[in-house]
Amino acid sequence: MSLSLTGIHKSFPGENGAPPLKVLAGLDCAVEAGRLVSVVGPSGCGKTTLLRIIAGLEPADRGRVLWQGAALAGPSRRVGMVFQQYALLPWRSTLGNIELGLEMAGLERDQRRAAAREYVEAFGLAGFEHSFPHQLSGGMQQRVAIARTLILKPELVLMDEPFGSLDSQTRDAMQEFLLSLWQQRQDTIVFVTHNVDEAVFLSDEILVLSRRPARVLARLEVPQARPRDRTSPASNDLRRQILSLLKQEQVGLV
Amino acid sequence: MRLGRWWLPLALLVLWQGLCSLGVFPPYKLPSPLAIIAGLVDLASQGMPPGQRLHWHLLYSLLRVGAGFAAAALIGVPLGLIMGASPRAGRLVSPLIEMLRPVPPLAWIPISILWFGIGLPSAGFIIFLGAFFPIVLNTIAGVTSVSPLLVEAVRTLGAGRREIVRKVLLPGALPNIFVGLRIGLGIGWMTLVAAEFTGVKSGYGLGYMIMTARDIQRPDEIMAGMAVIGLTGLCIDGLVRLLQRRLVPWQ
Repeated sequence: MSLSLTGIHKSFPGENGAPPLKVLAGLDCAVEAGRLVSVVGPSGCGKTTLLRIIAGLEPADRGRVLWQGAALAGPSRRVGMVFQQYALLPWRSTLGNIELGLEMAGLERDQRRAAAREYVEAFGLAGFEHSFPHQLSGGMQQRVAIARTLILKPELVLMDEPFGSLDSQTRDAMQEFLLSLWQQRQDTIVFVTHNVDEAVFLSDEILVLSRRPARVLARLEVPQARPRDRTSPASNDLRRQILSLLKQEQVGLV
Repeated sequence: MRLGRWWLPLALLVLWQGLCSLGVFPPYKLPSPLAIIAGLVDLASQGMPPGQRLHWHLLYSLLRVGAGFAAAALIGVPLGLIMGASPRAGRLVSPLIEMLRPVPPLAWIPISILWFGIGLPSAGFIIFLGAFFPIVLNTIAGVTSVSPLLVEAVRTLGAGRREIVRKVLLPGALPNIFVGLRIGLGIGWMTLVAAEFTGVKSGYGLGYMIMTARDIQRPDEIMAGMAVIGLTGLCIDGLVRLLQRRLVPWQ
């Protein structure tokens, strides 16, 4: 029992006099430490809002977010976040971006450099230390962003569709890479995606959210051992089950 | 540098020289390019008024612009950062700026002479006013152009307000800040010469030099002075652009 959300409410003021938009209305869920849990749901259901609340970027209107028993309010060193659009600083090199969090933590320059170089090596970025983000491919940019987050050794890593803008081959490679990282590090990952295949391939557990206001429709264990076969019958069954849940939620939306 | 870009100005110069040599323009109204070059040589060697040579005029003018522009940058950039970063500060200050901005810097000359007398402080103040507004407004535009996503990402890495400003908003706004600095410097340089027309205490300054040349009917030296002002402005802008390429290499 490690990340727990109870009774989370969140609505946004409606624009031009529209009624407020209820995104979360009493959402409860829990994520056990050390697991990789995916969150899937219809588009616009509030997956990203949920993640932003956990990250402390957005306050919940009501409800509690606890990590290891302590309330999370505001960004914390214990929680890291990876964004779909990478969010790298365009004026910093690979090394400069990876060192960013260490600067905030007050580390000396030499220590920062040494730590960042280790990550450059481990993340397959050697030779691109001094490149600016716009000189890197999408997959490399996302590796820089993940390195920048993981170098701070957060206990909980939030990922908001991190591979959503990558082509499918790069995406597959990044999924494998993420799994190998996670298996070494034993941290907890909450992974938001709209891609059911990705959720089935990666996760220990999948939370299926309803349409807005989001609640947890189903909590599915993924028992298959890793490395997984993306096309195994068990994967296909699970995928079918999730897709049919999502399809019911889409009725009346389109 | 290829001749292709320069043939038009060169052709115009040749035409100008030809018309002057044919006596189409009276030399006391429009001196020929060669006469202007001779005037430039006179300014550099003998000076105008005699004894006060060109390089000293140039130096004093640069000093005035340097002082006014430095003050504008030192106040304008931080103020723009604060106004861009904090909507509340922006709402508080921007009516004041919007009200003062349309007043031309030259319209401040009488009151600034009253306040500061004739000399470096009043000229510096006029240049400050000319340079200040473009610097503030472009800095604000630069800060608001920084993607909120970058700010959020840096917050999740543990950045506080001060670090967000220093590590995200300032570098993110830098391209726009340079636009503001270049415009501000250009306006400051233009304003300077006008400020010097109204008088200088030291007896030096390009504007003062030109007015003296007019008083004793030397159109060649007037136009040589104008050419020096134009070329100096071009050089200053080139230097700022060089600095920009150094400091904003990711663009």
